[in-house]
Amino acid sequence: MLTAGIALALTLAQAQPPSSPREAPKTDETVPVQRGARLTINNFAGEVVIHTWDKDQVHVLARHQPRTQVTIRNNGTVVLVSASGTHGPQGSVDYDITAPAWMPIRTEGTYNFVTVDGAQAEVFANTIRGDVIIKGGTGSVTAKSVEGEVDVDGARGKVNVNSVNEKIRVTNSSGEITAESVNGTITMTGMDAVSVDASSVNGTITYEGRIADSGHYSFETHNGDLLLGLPENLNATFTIRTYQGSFSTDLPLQGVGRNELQRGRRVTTTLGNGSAEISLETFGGRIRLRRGTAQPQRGKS
Amino acid sequence: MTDTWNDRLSEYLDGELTPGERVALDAHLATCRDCAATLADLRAVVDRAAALLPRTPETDLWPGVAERIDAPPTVVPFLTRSRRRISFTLPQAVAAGLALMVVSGGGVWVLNHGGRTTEAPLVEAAPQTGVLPVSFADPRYDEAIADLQQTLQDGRAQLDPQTVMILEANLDAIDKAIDQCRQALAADPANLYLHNHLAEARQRKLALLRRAAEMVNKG
Repeated sequence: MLTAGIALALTLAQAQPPSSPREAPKTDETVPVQRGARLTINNFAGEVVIHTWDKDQVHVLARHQPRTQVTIRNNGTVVLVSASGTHGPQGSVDYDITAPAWMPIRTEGTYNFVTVDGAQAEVFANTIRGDVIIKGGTGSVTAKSVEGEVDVDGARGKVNVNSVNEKIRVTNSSGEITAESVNGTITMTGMDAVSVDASSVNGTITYEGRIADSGHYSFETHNGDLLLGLPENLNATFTIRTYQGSFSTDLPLQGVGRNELQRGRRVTTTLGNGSAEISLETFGGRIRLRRGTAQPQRGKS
Repeated sequence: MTDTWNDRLSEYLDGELTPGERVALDAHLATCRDCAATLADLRAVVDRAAALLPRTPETDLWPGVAERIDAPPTVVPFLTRSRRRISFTLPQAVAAGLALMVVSGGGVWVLNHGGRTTEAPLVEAAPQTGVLPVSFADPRYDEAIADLQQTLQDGRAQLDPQTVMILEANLDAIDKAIDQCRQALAADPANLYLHNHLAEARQRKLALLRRAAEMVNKG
C-alpha cells in the first residue's frame, strides 16, 4: 500500500513540472492570523511555494486531485496546512501560499519542492527528495534536503543548510552559517558572515565574502577542495592542516610551504592583526586562498 | 620535536602542575611553537570529549527492579537454591546504574583524551607495542551504528528505492573516508589530526544513519 502510494505520488510529482497548472484549483481559502502565529505546511509530495505580503492573512491556493482534501486549521497560534486522501493516498498537492512577512514558516515533506520568497521571520524547510529555495528569512533559517539542491539567498541570522547528495548554495547572507554535505558542493558567495562552519566529505567548499574581525570560520573536507576568495585587507589568523592535500595562495601568508604542511601538521599564520580565526582542514583536497574571487577564471576550477 | 615540557602538557591542561611549574611552562609556551600547537590539540580533544552527550545505559535496570518490588516476597532457603541468583536492592540498582554511566562516560573520556594507564587492567589484553588509535575500538559506537544500519535495512521498504540508493552511496563515501583515515593512522598512529578527522567522519556517519532512521520511522 505504501509502495503504491509512493509510486503514485512520484508519478504525479515527476510527470508534470511543479509550476504547470495541472487542473483548476480545488482549494482557495484565506484565514486571518494574529501576530505571533506560525505557519506549518506538511506536504508529502508536490510543491510548496510561499510568498509574503503585508496583510495579516494567510491565503492558501492548492491544486490537487479531487480525491485529495486540503485542511487548513488555525488555532490562533499555528496555522496548519495539510492534505489527506479521501480514498487511499493523498497524491501530490501544489500549494501557492501567501503569508504575512512576519510569520515564521515551517514546511516538511518527502517528495516536496519548496520555495519561500520574502520571509522576514524564521524559516524551516525539510524534504527528502526535492529542492529547497529560500529567499530571505531572519533569525533562524534552516533548509535541508537529502536528494535535492538547497539554495538560500539573503538570509540573516543562524543559517543552517544541509544536503546529503546535492549542491548547496548560500548567497548574500549574513550571520552564523552552518553548511554540511556528504557529496554535494557548498558554495557561499557575497557573504557577510560572522561565523561559518562548513564541512563536506567529497564536496568542494567555496567561500567568497567578508571576514569579520573576531569572526570564526571553519572549512573542513575529506577529499573536497577548499576555495576561498578573501579581501586583501583582512585581519585573520589562519590555521591550516592537510594530510596529503595541497595548498596554494596569492595572499602574503608566511610559513605555509609544502614542508610545513606535512601530514596533518598544523600551520598557523596571520594577516593584519589576526583577529578573525580561519580554520582550513582537508585530508586529501586542495586548499586555495585567493584575493577577491575564489575562482581564478571562468571555466577553470 | 620533543622537549622536557612536551610530556607535561596533559598535566598542565588538567591543572596538575605546581604553580611554579605552571609559570615556567607558560613562559616556555610563549616561545615554543611545537608545544603550543600540541597544547592546542590537546585542548581540542578535551573540548570534543566535553561536548559528547551523556549516554543512557543500554540496559535499563528499572523494569527488573520494579518487578521485584511489586512481586510478593518469596523466601528461599539459602542452601536449597539450585541456581545462584543475583539481586539488587533499589539503592544498589541505582548505584549500579550510576556506576554504569560513570564507566561509560569515563571510557569515552579516556578514549578521546588519552588517559593514564593503570597497573591493574580490568581485562587481559595483548601487550601494546605502540600507541593505539583512539577510535579503533569503540564497541558502543559500533553497536549504535549496527542498530541504525539494521533500522535502515528493516525499513528499506518504507523508503523510495532511489532514496535508499542515495543514502547507501553516501554512507559508502563516508566509509571510504573512514578507511583512508584508518590506513593513515596505521602508519602514523600518534597523528592528532588523523584522530580528530576520524572522529569527525565517524560522527558524520552516525548523523546520517540517524537521519535515515528518522526517515524510516516517519515512513
